[in-house]
Amino acid sequence: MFKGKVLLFSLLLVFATSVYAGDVDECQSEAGVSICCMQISCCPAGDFQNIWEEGGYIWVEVKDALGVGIPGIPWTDFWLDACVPKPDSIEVGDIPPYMLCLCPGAIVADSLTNASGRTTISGRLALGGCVLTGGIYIAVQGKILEVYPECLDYICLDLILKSPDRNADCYVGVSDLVYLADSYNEGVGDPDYDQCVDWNHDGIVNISDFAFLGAHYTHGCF
Amino acid sequence: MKKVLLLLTVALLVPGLLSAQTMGVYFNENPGQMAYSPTTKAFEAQLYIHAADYYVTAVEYMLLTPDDPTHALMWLAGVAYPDNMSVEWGDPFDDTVGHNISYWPPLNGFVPGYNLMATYTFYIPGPPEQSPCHGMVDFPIVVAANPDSGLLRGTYHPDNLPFPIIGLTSILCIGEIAVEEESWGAIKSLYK
Repeated sequence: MFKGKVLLFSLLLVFATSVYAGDVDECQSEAGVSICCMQISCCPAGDFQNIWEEGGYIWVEVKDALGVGIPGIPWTDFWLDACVPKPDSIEVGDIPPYMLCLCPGAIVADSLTNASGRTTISGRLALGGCVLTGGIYIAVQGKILEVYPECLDYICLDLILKSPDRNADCYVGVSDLVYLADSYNEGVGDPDYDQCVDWNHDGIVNISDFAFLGAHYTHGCF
Repeated sequence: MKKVLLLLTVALLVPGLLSAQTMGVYFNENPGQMAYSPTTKAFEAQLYIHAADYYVTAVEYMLLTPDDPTHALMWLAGVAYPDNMSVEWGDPFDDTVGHNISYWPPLNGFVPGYNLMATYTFYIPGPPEQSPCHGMVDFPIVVAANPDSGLLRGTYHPDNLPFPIIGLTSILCIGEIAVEEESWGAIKSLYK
C-alpha cells in the first residue's frame, strides 16, 4: 500500500513537471544555426552525416508566452521540414530541390532543454529528399517556430539538406541511382550538375558520391 | 655523385611502384596467372584488385581488347559479383560509360591482399569444331580508365576519397615460339 502511494506520488510529480513547464509559444521561441551555410547529407535510415561534422549545430530556445524559457522539453519533441511548401502535384521524375521525406524520429535533440529552454541538435537526421533553397523550419511540440515579433513567417534555418534518397520517397533505390547517373562527372557550372547528389559537397558528382550511394543503397526508414 | 643520386632515385621509386594498387584480370583455370589459353568457348575470368591497402568502397574502369575493339572475336556473356557488391552500372566493354561497382561493406584491401571484384564469363563465338583460340594469338585484355571520367580509380572508406589504380594487361591464347630439336655439336658448328 505504501509502495503504491510512493509510486503514484512519483508519477504525479513527473506529470506535474511537464504541465508546469508551460505551453510552448511559437513566436517567443527562437532557433538558429551556429555557423552559416552548413550542408548536411542524410539518409532515411539515419546513418549518414552528423550535423557536428560540419562544425556546427542547430540551437533552439523554447519559451512560453511570457518569454520565459521552458526546461525539460524532451529531446523527441522536435520536428523539421522544408520551409518552401510542397507543390500540389509533381510530374514524374521532376522532384524539386526543396522536398523532404521525414522518417519517424527524423530529428532528435542532444538533450532536454535546460533552465533557459535551450537545447542543441547536432546528430544525424533520418530523412530523404533535398533542400537547397528556402531553408528548413523547426517545430516544438507541434508548433512551428515563427519570426518575432510579427509572428507571420516561419523561422527558416539556413541549412542545405541532401540525401541519397534523391526523390524523397524514404527509400534509396534505383530511382535515386538515375539522378546520380544523370549528373555523373558534372561539376559546379555544368548544366547537368545536380547539387542534391553531391553528397560530399566537393562541387563535383563523381565516384565518391557513387560510393556513398552504394553505402546507403536499399536504406529506408527504420 | 650522379650515380649515388640515380641509385637513390631507383631505390625509392621501385618500392613505390611495387606497392601501388593494381587491378587485373586473372583466370580461373590458372589462379594467380594472367595468361591463359582457353580450351572451351565459354570460360571465366576474375577481376582482382591487389595491394589496395584501403577499405575499398567503389571502382570505375573499363576493359579494353585492343586487338578486337568491336568485340567480334570475344563476347562478355555475363558478370557476377561478390556478395558485398552494392550497386553497379554500365558494362566493362562499354566505351561510353565504362563500368562502376560499389561495395558495402567495403573490400578489406589489407587482408588477404587480393580482393575479388567481379567474375566475368567470356565467350568466343565460332563453329564448335574450331579451337577457341582460332584467329587469336597473344590476345590482350587491358584494365583501362573509365571512359566517362578518364580515370582508373577507386574510393576508400570512410570518406570515399579517390585513389589511383594501375591497370594490368592479361593475355589470352598464348603464342608459342616454334622450335625444332638439334644436337649441341650442330649448334657449336654454327659459330665456327
